[in-house]
Amino acid sequence: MSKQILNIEKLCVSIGDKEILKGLDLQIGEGETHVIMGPNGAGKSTLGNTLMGKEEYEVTSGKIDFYGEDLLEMKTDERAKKGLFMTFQNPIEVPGVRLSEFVRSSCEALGNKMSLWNFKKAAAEQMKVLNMDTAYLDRELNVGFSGGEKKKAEIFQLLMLKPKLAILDETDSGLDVDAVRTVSEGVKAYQEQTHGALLIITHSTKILESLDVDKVHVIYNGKVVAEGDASLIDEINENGFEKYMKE
Amino acid sequence: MTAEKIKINSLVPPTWNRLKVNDITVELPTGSSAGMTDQGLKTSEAKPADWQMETGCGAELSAFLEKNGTTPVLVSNDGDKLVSIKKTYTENAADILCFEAKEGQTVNILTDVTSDESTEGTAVLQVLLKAEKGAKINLAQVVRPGKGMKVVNDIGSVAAEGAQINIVQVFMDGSDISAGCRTALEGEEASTENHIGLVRTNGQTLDMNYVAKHLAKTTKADINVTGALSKNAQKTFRGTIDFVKGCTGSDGRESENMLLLDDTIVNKTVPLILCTEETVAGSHGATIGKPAEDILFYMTSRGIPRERAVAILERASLEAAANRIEDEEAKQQVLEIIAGKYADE
Repeated sequence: MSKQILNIEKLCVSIGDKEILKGLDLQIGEGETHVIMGPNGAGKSTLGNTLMGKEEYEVTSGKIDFYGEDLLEMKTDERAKKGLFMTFQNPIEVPGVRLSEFVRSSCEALGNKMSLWNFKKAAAEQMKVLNMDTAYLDRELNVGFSGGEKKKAEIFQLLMLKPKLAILDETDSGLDVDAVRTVSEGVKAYQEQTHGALLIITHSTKILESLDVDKVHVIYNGKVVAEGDASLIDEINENGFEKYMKE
Repeated sequence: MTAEKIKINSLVPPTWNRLKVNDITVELPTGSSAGMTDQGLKTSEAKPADWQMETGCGAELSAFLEKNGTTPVLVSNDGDKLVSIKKTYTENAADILCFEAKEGQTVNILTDVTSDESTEGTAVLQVLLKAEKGAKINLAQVVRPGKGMKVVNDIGSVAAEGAQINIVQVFMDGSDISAGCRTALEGEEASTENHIGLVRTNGQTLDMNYVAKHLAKTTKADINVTGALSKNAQKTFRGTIDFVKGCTGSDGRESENMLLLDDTIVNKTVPLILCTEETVAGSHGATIGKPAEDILFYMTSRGIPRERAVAILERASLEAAANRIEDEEAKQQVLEIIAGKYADE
């Protein structure tokens, strides 16, 4: 058993008057790969956004510890500084801010200040993994990027920022087979380079094919309703979520 | 020192009074002397009759300046060499600066006005531009007064056949800024572009009135505003594309991209397209502004503190305009000013 880094207990989260998470429990160990599966509206993305500290997600009860510290007491940037990262399902366009400027500022904020030369060198290495042209560095962040380019840019940030725990929120959604493969290789490279942990929120399983999954959690109606090893993915692929929705 | 209240930035035509966007009343000190006399400019007296033109701020401001004894000064230029005017106001001031580009000539101008933090007062700068056939005027302006200095920055311009008038403006700092700009596209294929970058925060205000008047065939106008508002800032932008009968084949556009960094701000936008000619293309992409909360969440999720994220977005808004300055020397100077403002943030 690896050292526990994330401990979620009886987490209840609401948006406005609507309760989305209703007593969710989850533990992740150092370097582990966990997968969250579940039907639409189960609360998967709510979990990701809550972990990252998005304002409109109100934690009404429960606790989240990250490396033994109360995550709920931290602002979003502080969570990132502790080693938390999330790829966005719909990455935000930021007009006027170049990808290079944004990622370099992020690296600096996380304590990895680099000269322009070293940054460009490091960026070029990681972009090679993702088959990304370094010309993207000079483009405005996500502005005019295709869906696949946006997701690659997210994984590029993952590789540059090297978090301890990365939440991948539907990173494979809307991607063609080749793009999923590239993104998957980027995620694998992250694991090899940093030995970081992963919490992969997904509907599909294509992105998981090249990863060693330690644990699968099925969420339905705001709770974890089933857990198991990687074999659970095959079972869900075959039978869907219906069985868990009845429980 | 006495003062006079006048109405400027009047919307044509006016809309409902309750929206409070028809015009703005400003109080201007009378007896202000010219502020630009220390700039070492090569100037000559301009015949007022030659420089009678409508401006963005409007007739009441021009009448006020005339009554105040502010005479127009024609600034000489040396080919396309940048005419650079950098003024730190230390008291009330009122100036009318005129620039002309002769047939086929390009004139590049940079004005950068500021003031010490301790200076209190009001400065009026009216810039009048005339571009003859096939000429080009590139005007870049930085308006960044200290906290106690109010600024009225007014432009009137006329473009003859095939002439171009390109205006880039950066508004930052200070308390209250009023800005007007009106371009008359008098000759066929005349064109104008306005690129405005603005940052208003801590209760600062900016009231703008921009007009492009298409008076001849196949004229073009493009007005773009980018900016960021936070902490009780207030901004009003009136943008009018006016197609006059006979300006067939003309194209007028305006767009606005404002980032609303919190919910304490007041952001008013009044896009207008007036049209008495059928075969024209007019469009406005002005919006009421975009709440920046999702952008800030995205940026902070990468470890960037919120205040730093706000500074990055503000700087980007200003640079978006500054990068449109055609003259490289002027562009670098403006980019350096912006970089200087955000150097410690």
